Amino acid sequence: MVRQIARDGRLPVVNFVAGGISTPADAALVMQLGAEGVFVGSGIFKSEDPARMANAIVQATTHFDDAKILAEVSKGLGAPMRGIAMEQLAESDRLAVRGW
Amino acid sequence: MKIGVLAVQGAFAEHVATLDAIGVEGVEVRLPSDLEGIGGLILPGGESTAQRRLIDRWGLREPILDLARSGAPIFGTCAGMILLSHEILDGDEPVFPLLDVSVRRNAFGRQLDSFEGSVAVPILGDQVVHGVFIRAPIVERVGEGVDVLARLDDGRIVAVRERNVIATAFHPELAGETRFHRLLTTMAAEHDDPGEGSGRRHHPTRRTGLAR
Amino acid sequence: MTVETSTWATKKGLAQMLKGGVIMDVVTADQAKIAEDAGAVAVMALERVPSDIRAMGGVARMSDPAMIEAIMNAVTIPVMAKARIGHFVEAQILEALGVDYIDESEVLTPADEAHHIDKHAFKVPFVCGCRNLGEAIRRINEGAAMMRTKGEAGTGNVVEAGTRWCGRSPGTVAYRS
Repeated sequence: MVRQIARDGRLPVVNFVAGGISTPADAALVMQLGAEGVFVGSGIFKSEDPARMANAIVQATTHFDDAKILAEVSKGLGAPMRGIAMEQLAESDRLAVRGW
Repeated sequence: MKIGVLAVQGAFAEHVATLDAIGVEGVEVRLPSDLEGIGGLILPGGESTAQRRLIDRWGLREPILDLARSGAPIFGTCAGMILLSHEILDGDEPVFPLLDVSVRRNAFGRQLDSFEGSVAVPILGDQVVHGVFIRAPIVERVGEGVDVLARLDDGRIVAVRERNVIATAFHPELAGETRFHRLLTTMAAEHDDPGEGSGRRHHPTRRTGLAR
Repeated sequence: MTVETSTWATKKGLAQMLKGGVIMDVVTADQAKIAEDAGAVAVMALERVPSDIRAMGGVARMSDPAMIEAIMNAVTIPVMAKARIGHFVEAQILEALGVDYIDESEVLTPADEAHHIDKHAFKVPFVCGCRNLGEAIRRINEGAAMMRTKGEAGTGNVVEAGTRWCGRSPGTVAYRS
């Protein structure tokens, strides 16, 4: 499997990105970096207008490479979830370090 | 010859790779302008409810219908079959009603009922197609102008064609199967230049009575 | 025709069908409908979204099967649900419910300090989190049919997800581990 990954430059299964995505721009960012799709957890139903935010993130995930469309779908979405800066999060409160 | 692959959501990269394997350039289609210069179009598997939102938001519906009406070949797999049907049973309104069939979404059940197996598709020759069925639809009714291309052993219909539009409930692009893509490319070449290939003869899969 | 269900091609294949899409966390059937209508390709059914799990503290477990079932009945898109890392009985329950994918998730409190679930033993496919290539290979080796690069869940902060990637071209992924 390691040899196959080295040859293909990618995993043998589909790879999404999860954790911390809360705006259309966030979704497009990870897609431009090579994600094959996104998981959005708290980002939608903790935002001011979940239906609009959800739709905008869907549009941005498809048109991740088109800044004009990203600008269009990012308009007037209301407040995204508040968010936490990583420095404010104690190591013991971090979830991503679980699993090994 | 370029073939478009609708790339709003789903397994479009697999279709582009399959086209590449037979030496045909696949073009990802996200906006109407991406349809320029393509000779045929593939609608890939994915979630039809999500694809529908993305098709409508950026005005892809009419340009794709125009392309189909011009006679360019269209090939839909799984969700693509759903999008091409006249009627979606217990579901939403049709998107590209180009196939006079009624389909049922998730007809086999949930993911635990997804399966693979061999399917005879006579127009592709004697060698069976290895079909991968993932939360697949089934055709429950076919209209008069529709050819049934394949059935399961129990008689249920899993591949159909009406003139220039082909659809399968399964995924040839996940099984290294290239014959559907070759057929589509041949049809696109004929549409582009009716004299292509055999010249005076109709393509073997064309229904002579219906040829326009 | 010989038919084989729950093969590697069908497990991995469902994830291939979800590509280019958004999978949304939902805690009620109403939210699941909103997500489906907005164009989600799947929903993750859970009792509390990560930011609330974070706020509440304590042990976070698999969600109530009744709640998961209500969501499965509300939408036609695939429904995923989370089991704790290493908790193979929670996974057995989720498989019995008929969910379409199980997420063996670090967002819930791990049930085993040493082992992950033997995912080859299940008919239902699994998605697992990873921070680097090593973790991804271990999870796939255990039978995961889909991966998700984990940022810091419930923070609304993309720095963690973003910086774990170094993309070469779309669809080509390399890890900075």
